[in-house]
Amino acid sequence: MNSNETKIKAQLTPLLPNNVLSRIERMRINSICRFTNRQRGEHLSGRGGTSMEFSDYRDYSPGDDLRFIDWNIYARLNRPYLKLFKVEEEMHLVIIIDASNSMIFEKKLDLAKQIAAAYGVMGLYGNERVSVYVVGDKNSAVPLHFPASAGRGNMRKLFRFLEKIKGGGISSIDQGVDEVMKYHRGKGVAVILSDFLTFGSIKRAMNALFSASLEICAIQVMSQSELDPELNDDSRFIDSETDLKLDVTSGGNLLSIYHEHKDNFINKLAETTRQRSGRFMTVSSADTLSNVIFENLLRQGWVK
Amino acid sequence: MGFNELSKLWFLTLLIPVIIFYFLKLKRPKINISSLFLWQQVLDDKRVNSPFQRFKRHLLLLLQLLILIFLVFAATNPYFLGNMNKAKRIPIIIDISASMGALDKDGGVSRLERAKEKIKKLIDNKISGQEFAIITFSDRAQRICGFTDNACILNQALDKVKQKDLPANIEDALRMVQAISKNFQFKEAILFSDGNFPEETKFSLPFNLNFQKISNDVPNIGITALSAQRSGTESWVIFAELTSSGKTAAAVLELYHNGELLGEETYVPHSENSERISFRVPGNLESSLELRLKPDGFDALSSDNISYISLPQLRPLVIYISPTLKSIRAAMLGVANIDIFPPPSNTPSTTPPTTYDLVITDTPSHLDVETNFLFTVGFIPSDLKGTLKRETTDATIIDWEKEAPLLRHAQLGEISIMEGTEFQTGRSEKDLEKMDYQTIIFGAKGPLLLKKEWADQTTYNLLFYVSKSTLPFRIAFPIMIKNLVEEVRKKAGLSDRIASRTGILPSLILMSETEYTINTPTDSTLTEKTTQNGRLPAISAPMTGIYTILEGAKKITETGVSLLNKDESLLRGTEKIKFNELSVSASDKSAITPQSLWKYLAILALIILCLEWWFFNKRN
Repeated sequence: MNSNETKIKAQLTPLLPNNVLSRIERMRINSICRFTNRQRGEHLSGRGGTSMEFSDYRDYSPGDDLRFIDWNIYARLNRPYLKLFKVEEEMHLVIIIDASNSMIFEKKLDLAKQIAAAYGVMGLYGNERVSVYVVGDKNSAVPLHFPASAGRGNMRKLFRFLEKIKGGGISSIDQGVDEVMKYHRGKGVAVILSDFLTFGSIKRAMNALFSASLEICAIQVMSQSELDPELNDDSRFIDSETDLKLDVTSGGNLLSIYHEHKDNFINKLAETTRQRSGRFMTVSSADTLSNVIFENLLRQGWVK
Repeated sequence: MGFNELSKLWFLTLLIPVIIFYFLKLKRPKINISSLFLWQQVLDDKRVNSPFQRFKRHLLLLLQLLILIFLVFAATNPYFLGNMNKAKRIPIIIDISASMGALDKDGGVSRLERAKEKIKKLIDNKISGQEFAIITFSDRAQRICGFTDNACILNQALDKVKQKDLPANIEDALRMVQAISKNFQFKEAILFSDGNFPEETKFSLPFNLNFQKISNDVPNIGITALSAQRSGTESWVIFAELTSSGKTAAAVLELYHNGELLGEETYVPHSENSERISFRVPGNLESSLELRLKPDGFDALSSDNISYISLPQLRPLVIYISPTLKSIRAAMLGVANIDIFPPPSNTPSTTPPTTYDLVITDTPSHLDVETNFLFTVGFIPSDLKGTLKRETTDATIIDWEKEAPLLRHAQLGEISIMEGTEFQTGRSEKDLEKMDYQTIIFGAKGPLLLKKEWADQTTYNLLFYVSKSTLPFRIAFPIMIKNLVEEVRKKAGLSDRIASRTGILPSLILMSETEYTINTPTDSTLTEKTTQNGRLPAISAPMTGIYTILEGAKKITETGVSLLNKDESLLRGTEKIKFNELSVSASDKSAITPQSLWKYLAILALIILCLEWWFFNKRN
């Protein structure tokens, strides 16, 4: 048994180093839209509720619960005012992992799994209901599903689920989201981990998520060869998912045109997400998880 | 611009398989990528599919197609017309005279070689169907190759063209070209020459002449004349004329007598003047003399640096005079260095020789005596009896050939002759001419002295008796005798000798109907058979040197011939040839026919091939 294996054994999961895990445990998802469910949770709802968090006063109306009348105000003003409290509702965290063939390249799926694990930990520790869908896995016609679970006791189950994801399917992320939406119920945050390199309609997938009251957090995982490709010779590219072939001849400003198209694509994705009150980020599979979580997500306010 | 082999453009169809093979053989490395999504967008971009980008995409194919196109165009043998000669037929006239052997520097190339290089280029660059003929000329013209478009035959013919140590005779060449023009139509002939021939030519040029002058200003010094003159009774004086052109250095003239150095003289040239140098050699033995000129520096022409002359042994003339011709015998006794037969009574008798240098007789029976020079007196030769008859009345001399060697300085007026000759009825002077007789002294009614020359035989027929005339009493008589002796001496080669020149070997009398081998200076051999008279047919001697005549393996004699031509040694070249009606100037431009482009296209294809190789390796 070498030192690496010993180190991995000592960890709770190979997805997250212990030091990262310990930091993540203290972090929470920072939702903008606050799509919450009726179930009680830790997220304050806009509606009035019975939490300890004061929200506002309003005039008493007949039929109101007398327990919420602020008697101190009544003593001073001789008029009854009702004390309103915020409601703390549960937020559903839906993590959608694209495990299609395209994600196998250059450990994109590995990083996606790590980010999913980090989000899962944050959700479970934040008393959210966390569910994970794996789309495009070759072992399953329907998306692999980690059922909605809450409480840190499910953390180990989540890790085992994520660790078992092999990936290698051919369905695209838009088809995967469609499938997910057939099974998913509940509002909250949808974290999509994909490269979004699909000929299908991302807009439709985004609409479906937004319609289901899921705040979209799209994290595009790109490999280094996709972000900054090198082309030295005439080549025949074969699409890992569709087996389509494309002859590419190197030369001239082909790469600059590629970069231009890539940036346009990313910008369009970001715009599409933003228009649906979501957030979008592109990370490189070459980045470390720490870098992604603590530098990108934390700094940009995706988590707190 | 044109194409010699336009039909080879069919090879352009090879472009199709090249394109097919290119795409079939184009092996792109297969690369699995996550998604074609972005790349598809990139390749759909118009900028990628712009013509320039497409060109760059298949640069290797483009280079291969270019190589093929250039090679196919090279195969069509394209040519650039420019100022070139488009004539279908062009006779090429090449000067191969002695001056064309002049070198441009020590160990350099001769004018003829330079001309041949130009002609070779001309042949190589000729357009399709263009025919050339090659005619050379020195002292006479020779057609080396008739009109043909076969470059191989023309090149082979050109290789056979050799320079000769002979003077140039351009008229002969032009006449031959004119004769060719009667069978083959052409408008222009190209002349390659150094212009070392007379500027004025009596020839009407029926075609255009492109005069390509091949010349170089080089120094030359050479022997331009060589002769020998008898000096007294025991020695010869050799006269050599040396001529120099250009800035020649001094030279040493060496005389070899039978292979041994007899004397030498240093010659310092002064501008282009000729100078005579003389040597005295003994005449007691037959000798072969060789003059060698050794220039102290570069000398363009070597063939004029050597010359030969053969001298016979000096001896008295052997003359037979009929005893009845007392006046002639008396006159002959006053002439020195002759032996008279029968000898005078007051001298000891000697054995009569078998041959005589001169026979003077008044008896027809003496005509059988072996001699080359016969002088008959007082009778009409048998072959003339049908033409002439004895005149019964007195005859008078009305005229005589004053330039004839026999009558030089002789005044024959007022001589009385008792019996002359007259023509037979119906005969005239023309009948004599038909029989090769030349009248030397004209009488009132008929000839009085006839001369006939055939082969190496000379005959004088004095048709009246000397004793029956007042001639012996005239001062002209001893002069005539003296002239006769001198003429005989000259004929016997005992008076003076002139060195033989290149062209034809001097006439030789050998054994009759015998086969002889002649070794030439160029190490080639000729075989000739003598005639009934023992005369060797005319043998061409185009090169300076010694020609050895052998009978089997036995050496019979040898004759040296020399260039000895002042014009050739001076290496002058005329810039303009004046014909009867027009003048032709030397052309400044080279007579290059169409400029063949196939070499350039092939080189271009090679360069592109290298470029493709470099580009291919750079990519890998």
